[in-house]
Amino acid sequence: MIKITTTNEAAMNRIQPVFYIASTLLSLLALFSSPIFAGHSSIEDPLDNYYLDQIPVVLSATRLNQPQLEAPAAATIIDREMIKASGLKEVAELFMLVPGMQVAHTNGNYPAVTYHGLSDEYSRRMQVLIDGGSMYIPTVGGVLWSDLPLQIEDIERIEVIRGPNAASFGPNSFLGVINIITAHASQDSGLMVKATKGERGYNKLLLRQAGSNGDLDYRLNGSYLEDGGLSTLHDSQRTNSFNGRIDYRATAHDTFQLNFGVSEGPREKGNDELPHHSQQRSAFYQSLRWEHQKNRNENFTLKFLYNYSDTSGSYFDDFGSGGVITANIDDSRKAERFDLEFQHTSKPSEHTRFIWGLGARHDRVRMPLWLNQKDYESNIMQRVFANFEWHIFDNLILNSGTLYEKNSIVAPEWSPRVALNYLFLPTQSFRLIASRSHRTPDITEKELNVVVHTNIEDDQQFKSLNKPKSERADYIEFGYHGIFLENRLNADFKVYRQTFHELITKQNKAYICTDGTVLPTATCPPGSILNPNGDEFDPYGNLDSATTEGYELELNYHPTRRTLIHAGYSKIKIFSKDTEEDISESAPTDSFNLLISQKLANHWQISSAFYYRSEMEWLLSGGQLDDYKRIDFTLSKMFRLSEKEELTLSFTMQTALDKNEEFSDDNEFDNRGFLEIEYQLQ
Amino acid sequence: MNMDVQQRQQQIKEGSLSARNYHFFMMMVAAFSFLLFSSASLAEKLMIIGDINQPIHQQLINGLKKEFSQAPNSLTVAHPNQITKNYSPVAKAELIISLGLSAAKSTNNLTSDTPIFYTLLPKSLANRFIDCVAQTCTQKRSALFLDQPVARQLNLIKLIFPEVKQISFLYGDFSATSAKELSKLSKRSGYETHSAHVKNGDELSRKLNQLLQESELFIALPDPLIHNRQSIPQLLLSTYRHNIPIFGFSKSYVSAGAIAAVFSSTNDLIQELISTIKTHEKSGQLPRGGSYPSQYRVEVNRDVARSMNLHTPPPTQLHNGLLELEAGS
Repeated sequence: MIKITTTNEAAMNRIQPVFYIASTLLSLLALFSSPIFAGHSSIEDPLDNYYLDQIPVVLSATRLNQPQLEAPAAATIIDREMIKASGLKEVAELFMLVPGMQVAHTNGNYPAVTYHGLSDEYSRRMQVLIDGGSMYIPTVGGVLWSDLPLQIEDIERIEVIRGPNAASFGPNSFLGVINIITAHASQDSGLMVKATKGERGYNKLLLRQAGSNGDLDYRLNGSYLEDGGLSTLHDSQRTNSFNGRIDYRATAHDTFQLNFGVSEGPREKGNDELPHHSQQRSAFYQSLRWEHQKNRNENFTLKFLYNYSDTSGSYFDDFGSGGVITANIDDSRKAERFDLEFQHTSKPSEHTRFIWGLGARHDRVRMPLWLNQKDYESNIMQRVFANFEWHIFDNLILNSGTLYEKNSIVAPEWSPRVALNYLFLPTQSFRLIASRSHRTPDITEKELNVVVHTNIEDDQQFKSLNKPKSERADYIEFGYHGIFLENRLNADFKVYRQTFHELITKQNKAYICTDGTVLPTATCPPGSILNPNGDEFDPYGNLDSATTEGYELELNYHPTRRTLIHAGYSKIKIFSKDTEEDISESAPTDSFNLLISQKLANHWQISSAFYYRSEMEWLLSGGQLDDYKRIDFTLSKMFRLSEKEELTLSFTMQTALDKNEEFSDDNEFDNRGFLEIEYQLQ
Repeated sequence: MNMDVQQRQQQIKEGSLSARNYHFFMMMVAAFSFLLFSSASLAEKLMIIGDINQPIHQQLINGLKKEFSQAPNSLTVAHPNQITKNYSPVAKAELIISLGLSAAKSTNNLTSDTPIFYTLLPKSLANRFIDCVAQTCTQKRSALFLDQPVARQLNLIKLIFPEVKQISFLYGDFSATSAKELSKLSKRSGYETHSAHVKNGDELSRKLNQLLQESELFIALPDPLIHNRQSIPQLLLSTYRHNIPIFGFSKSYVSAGAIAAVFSSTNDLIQELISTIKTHEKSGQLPRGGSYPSQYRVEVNRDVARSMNLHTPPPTQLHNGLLELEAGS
């Protein structure tokens, strides 16, 4: 009976993504074939309206980069040119190019990314979006970078907001925001085949077909990836994925964008503490966005997102007892996210812009090991947000915004922000930003209750302490942005201070009183006494506070159109009582990145990147890491086979210097070469 | 006492009556003056060939009708399909205004020697009708071009981006003449030009991307093969990706995402037509070989400019700059 239920459930889970893809495609098909959108009225004389006809607004406010001189935040833009020059193969690694960001592999198949530390392997305090849709996983928080439903080749640009921005991007925008913007489907055409062979068993094949049919543009990718991981760990992976993007211009004012992706495959797990086993991972992503551009100054967007991830993996553990204590552990994790958002952008006058919106989200997770229950846990959220931009004078801009979120886990919170940009010269500005943001604990943090059911006893290992509430951060930044040499040199500098309250962290010991209260200190309420078994598990709760201070510098220099120089430096100090964890060590005091690229004659390109960070210690990683120095080289050459065909060969050597430790001192990454061949037929 | 009151009331009544008469008189004068000065008489017979179902044709026809409302019988409108070799109203007309391509084609059937003035056609197309062999068309022919002179576009580029040295453009068969003129003029102005000939829509993406590698600025030459509702999003997104500003040729191109354009609005064209008709009525003259609109405006997309970290002067300043440059040349 139990087996039948499981099979049905598995079947349902397999069917669900297919169902959503099919239903969306069918809906679109029905929409496109409806009389409303069935082509345009026939015009006898095509020239009659040619010069004076309406053209759809393409570069609307949502597609444009916010001018950095006027932006209410420090931002790093990683564009296609930088991605290509970096030679990096994983999306997560690109954030090494962002000053103040840390990237590390907890093993060969699981990267972690954070900004200004305060992170374990699940970076819960960063917001990550793909085309505006949150990729934050409601199970354990953070982002499953290796399951992202896109290829690195799909990315048009990545906007990294360096600093909290909950007022614009939601409650997890606590430390920073990563907004990955994929290229419009019309930006690719024809067939592309790309094969990559790397050391340590890395093989990847990517097939892409893109094209147009009237007002409909599409891009479809299929890929296969296998990676042997580190020789010292069980961390190989195989991933099959299929993803795409469809853009449809229904009328001169209405566009639809569908993004979807499915990926699945096994990932090896295991180290000194965790028995060797395999996890089967599958993920599905779908977002549909309708944009109505009423005119150049006003638009409406309606966005629906559905995310699904499933990690199944049971293993046998004897805890090194030689078979005396044993347990079959079900570490499966399922998560679903439904999100609906409406946004209205308008320019009431030449000097003002107003954005407001409403959103609702339903997250549900099933994690038998982490929550000690087989049922789904849910979180239902509603949010309302608004941002007002006012050009008080031509050179003085006020940005003011707020987000109000209500959810079923913690009390409602406001996250306001105010920023002032002063352009003291047309090409140079100062900015002053103050904000307060909140981070809602994820379902796991709220309901964490890890009990391992062994053949001898039920072993309580972790537990949430008195239902954690939201974390809070207050932030202040003073920044400068300058543009020099006719737009060829951009410089940004910021100095900041951020104070965190009620940080949710792990404690090494808990105290349970006889009345059931769980406490971080051994002081029970009157009328109860300490339970003698209370110190046998690690509790999670609002146990810590911290303050970060520092400054960052970023330079982008294009001496010519063929040369690119990008550099970033970050200095940070974290002050914390470190009551439970070494929060003050969770970010490197100094970090630096440099990327140089030169396009040469005959379609040769050479580039090199250098990354440095001083010592640091990721939370819950078990030890401090030495400083990190990494240098990568990439050399490529494009051959034009015919008028329509191109062949590009490239060679990348990563970590050309000494080995580096990432995340923990067990993870030593040595140099790794990649050979890539790309064929394009347009 | 009653008498005084009645007299007073009568005075007030008379006063108000005379005041009312005075106001009525003044209103009549104002209305007459408005009619006298806001609309013109038209002595010669005018025939407009156009499709009233096309909004732009309708706007032009209505604009002319409004202007010549004092002589409504002097102005007749015919659909291109009505134009036959011996279409009688044509013979009675003293000037034919042809709107758009279909109307222009229909004038090939005409045998009368009534002068024809073409509009709503770019220069490259209008010239095909103007430069007809004398034996086949006996009429005097001229045109008001729909597009802007290449020199005016280059002047606008100079005013906005004086430091730019490399410009690029795509052209098709339709825009080949403009492309040739643009190449010649831009080289004379010291620009390095990069261009590519697009023979069919499939080549557009590839040729555009190759072109953008070596360019600082892209000029959109009007050509339905290259710049159409389907292709403009791709052109705008690609140029934006390469941080290359694109100069459009219409107001809506700028609204869509081009950085700037110089263009003539429907009202500008109406005013140009009125001026041409009046000149013809007085002197029988039409601009020899056709002319570009002398009335035009400049549109700038400040959002796109700011996003690309570019600084653009206000449109009025640019318009004045263009007028000065044209006056000086």
